[in-house]
Amino acid sequence: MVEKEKKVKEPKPKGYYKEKLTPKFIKDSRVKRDAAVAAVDLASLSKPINDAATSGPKKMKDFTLWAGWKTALVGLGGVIFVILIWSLYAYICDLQNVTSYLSSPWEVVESFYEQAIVHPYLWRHLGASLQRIVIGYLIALITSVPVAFLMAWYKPVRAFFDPFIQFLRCVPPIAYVPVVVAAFGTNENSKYFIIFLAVFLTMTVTIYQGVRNVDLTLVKAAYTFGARDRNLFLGVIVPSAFPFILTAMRLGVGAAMTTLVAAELTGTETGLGAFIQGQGSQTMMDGCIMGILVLGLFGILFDKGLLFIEKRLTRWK
Amino acid sequence: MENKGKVVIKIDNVRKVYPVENGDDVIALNGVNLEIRENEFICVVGPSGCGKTTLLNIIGGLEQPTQGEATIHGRPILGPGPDRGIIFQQYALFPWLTVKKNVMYSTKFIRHEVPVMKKNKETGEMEPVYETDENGNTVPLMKKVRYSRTEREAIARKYIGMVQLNGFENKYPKELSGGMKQRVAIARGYALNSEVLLLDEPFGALDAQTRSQLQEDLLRTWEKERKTCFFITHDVDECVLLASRVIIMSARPGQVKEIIDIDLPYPRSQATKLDPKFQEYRNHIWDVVYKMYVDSGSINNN
Repeated sequence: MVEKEKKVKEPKPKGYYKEKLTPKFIKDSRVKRDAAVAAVDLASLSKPINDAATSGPKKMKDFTLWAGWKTALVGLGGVIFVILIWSLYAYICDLQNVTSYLSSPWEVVESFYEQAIVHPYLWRHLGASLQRIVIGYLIALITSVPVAFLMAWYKPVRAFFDPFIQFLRCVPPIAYVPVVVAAFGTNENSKYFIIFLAVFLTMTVTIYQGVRNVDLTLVKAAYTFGARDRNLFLGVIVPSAFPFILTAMRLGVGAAMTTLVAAELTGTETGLGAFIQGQGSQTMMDGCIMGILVLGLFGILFDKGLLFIEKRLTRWK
Repeated sequence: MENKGKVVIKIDNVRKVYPVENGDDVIALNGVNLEIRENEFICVVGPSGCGKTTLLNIIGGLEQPTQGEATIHGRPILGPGPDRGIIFQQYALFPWLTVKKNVMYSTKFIRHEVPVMKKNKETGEMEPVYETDENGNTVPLMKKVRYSRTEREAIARKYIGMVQLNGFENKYPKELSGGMKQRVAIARGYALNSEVLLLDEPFGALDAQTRSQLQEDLLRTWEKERKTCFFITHDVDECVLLASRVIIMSARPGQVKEIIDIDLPYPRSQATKLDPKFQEYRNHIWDVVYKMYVDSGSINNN
């Protein structure tokens, strides 16, 4: 019997299939490009122009010189500009008497006088909304901090929460309003839940990033001073991530304010979001716009308040 | 050096390999043997990639050798500890703590021995408690305690003064220049009062003037306390100026190439650089290091 020689399959060199799968026209273009690069005669190239006309000294704009009052003045100018455009459009709508309709700024002011000063309707709505925001926000704050820290610290926790977070981040809260109503009913719990969910997502993602950003040299340094794991957590990880927690708190306020209207679509007649909806459905545009303005202004107020606290607490940054 | 001290740290045939996916593993250290003795100032020089920092990390306990062993007083080094203070090139100051609090951090977890005191019922005064040791002698009973806040503050103040940063105690690191930050890091390293101080290119990121100043400061403190130092640098002048012993390492794989005792008397200063002996040492080390650069192909020697 003749021993059959075993055919040994040689392993393919690295990049073999990549090369094989590359279409011919791409290979051709590479050859062409290489030939073109090789053909460039460096000696014959003229020197780059370095005269003052093209690359001369230019004064750099110094934005840091902008004084606070200047910034405020320009901001105010922007507000006045928008109010002017708004007035103009309202005036045009009024003149033509067409189907488009916009309340003028003055009508909105009147509406505010009527519903906030003569009668206290607005404040009652605002109170109901604030209660929802505060409760939903606080639950989110209390839960997102440990979840974010655990996610950053332990891989299984991250693997567990990550799909939910990535999924829910892409779904606007208004989409799951009917589901929430069906599950929780039209009581306050459904409102807290929607606000909680929005704030929780925003804050968890931000705080998680903050904990992941902790400088490992600081961790090493703490270890060399004899710190144990628990000292490390309170002494290094938490203070390192603290600015991110504050940023997360600000972003969370934004998330809470923007989901308020969605939250108050779950069957209620109180609350600023419900107020805006109600005024809108009764074609009372002045009240509707007024509600939106109050909502936005309170958002700015909260943000500035938190910013102030943030600056105070992270002076070292 | 004539009177060789007790061996503190022993590096015994240490090999460190970093596995690389789809490629050749990087051998950072290969067969490194080294003894660090009490009161020595060791400088390690070598081209980049010679495993200087890996060696320091192994002594510091931040990394474990693949083979071989690193020991301190015969005990294997398993992790970082306050007996080996590290001063990092990137300062590693806690940005949320002031200068004083940063320096105080190093004494936060360490303990020291104090006599146990007891109130004498008759006189009403505090008195130490005595015990009998195994030789039958009466000795005060000691206990290990952490430093109190005031003690830690006093220690911090002392070392902040040593690096000439009085008046900056309540500044945050971001308000300091690079040189000042490194001074804080040095003060913090010294305040730990560790047996060995490991310095990982501490002056690498500083300008020439600040560097000379800090070198002098470091010399003054070392001459006073003679704390065992393990100093990594790539600056040949710096290593001759500071070291009592220079270790030259070669790259790929990282190995000890040559060990040179620097026989220049302390106290030293920048003026020591004018000493012909200094020049001799410097030229010799530079030759060895430069030759390695050429051999490795980093420099084209045409």
